[in-house]
Amino acid sequence: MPDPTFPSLRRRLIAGGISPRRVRRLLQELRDHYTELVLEQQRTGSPRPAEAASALLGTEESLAAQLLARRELLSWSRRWPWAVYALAPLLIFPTAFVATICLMVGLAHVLNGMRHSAPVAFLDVMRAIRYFDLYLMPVIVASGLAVLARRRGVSPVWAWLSIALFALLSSLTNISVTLQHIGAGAGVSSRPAILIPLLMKRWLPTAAAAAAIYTVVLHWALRRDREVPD
Amino acid sequence: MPIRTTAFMAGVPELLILKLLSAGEMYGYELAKAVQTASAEALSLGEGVLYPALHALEIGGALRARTAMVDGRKRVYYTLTARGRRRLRELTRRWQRVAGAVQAVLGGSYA
Repeated sequence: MPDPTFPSLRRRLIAGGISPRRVRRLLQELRDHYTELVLEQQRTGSPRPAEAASALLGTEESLAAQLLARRELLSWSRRWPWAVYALAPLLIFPTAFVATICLMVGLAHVLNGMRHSAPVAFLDVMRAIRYFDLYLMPVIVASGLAVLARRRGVSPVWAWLSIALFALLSSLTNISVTLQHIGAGAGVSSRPAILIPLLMKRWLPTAAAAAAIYTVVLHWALRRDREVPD
Repeated sequence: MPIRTTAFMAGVPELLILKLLSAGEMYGYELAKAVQTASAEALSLGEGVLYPALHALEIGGALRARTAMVDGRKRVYYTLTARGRRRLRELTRRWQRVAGAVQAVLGGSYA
């Protein structure tokens, strides 16, 4: 009788690029199908219903091959790795900056309506968002994409490309926030300064440091991943 | 011995699944049995064909899936969507054209 959790089939399908959620459902359906086949064999008086049901279900190799042959079942990161690991990093930075600027302008409008609010708290919030955009977000997203590449069985080249792009972009980007006229017409001056670090010739050590941090986080995440049982 | 669907019958498993589901919701094993019964045991959808086809159709929006607990087991039921009905009409037309063409060749005077 096969192991009803199909552990090796699960590993094959996830390594082949099918998302864990879909694999979970596929295996749940195969388990149900197998149980029905066993019951059918019992009804027909088969002397070895479990073995007969296993033979009808087919080998794990053939099931895996047929499932992985359907490109539609593969996850996005497996079907279009360039979009997930190369295009996404290029889009995430401008998107995060636009979102940050919108948030700052929105907060400034709120403060403007309150008239007597403390600008110190506002600046603290802005500073926290800026640090998140420049330092924490790249670490989370770059390491997350690299872990995703490893889990989906995507070539490690994509994971490294993703890390390199994030390191480069985070070292070449800066954002400045200036608060004007709090209380009587609050305003925010905020701009992403993409080329300033490049002009200041300090982007290379920053990029190297960022890449090193992402790699350390990636290794930590992968070790944790290996320690978690299937 | 029933004919197992193979590569040369591409699109046929989808056609059979959509046709059977047009009568009401079913789960995997039930569908496999229905194909055998409806084809008088001439056709059999293997599990390696049935589940990839079901999931591909669901991803393509032709089917909707829901999970229910039956006898302590989680079971996934599939129903046809409006897009699935359109796909069924399209595949039926295509199959009828192919079947008609093959029949014309078989009945022709070429030898």
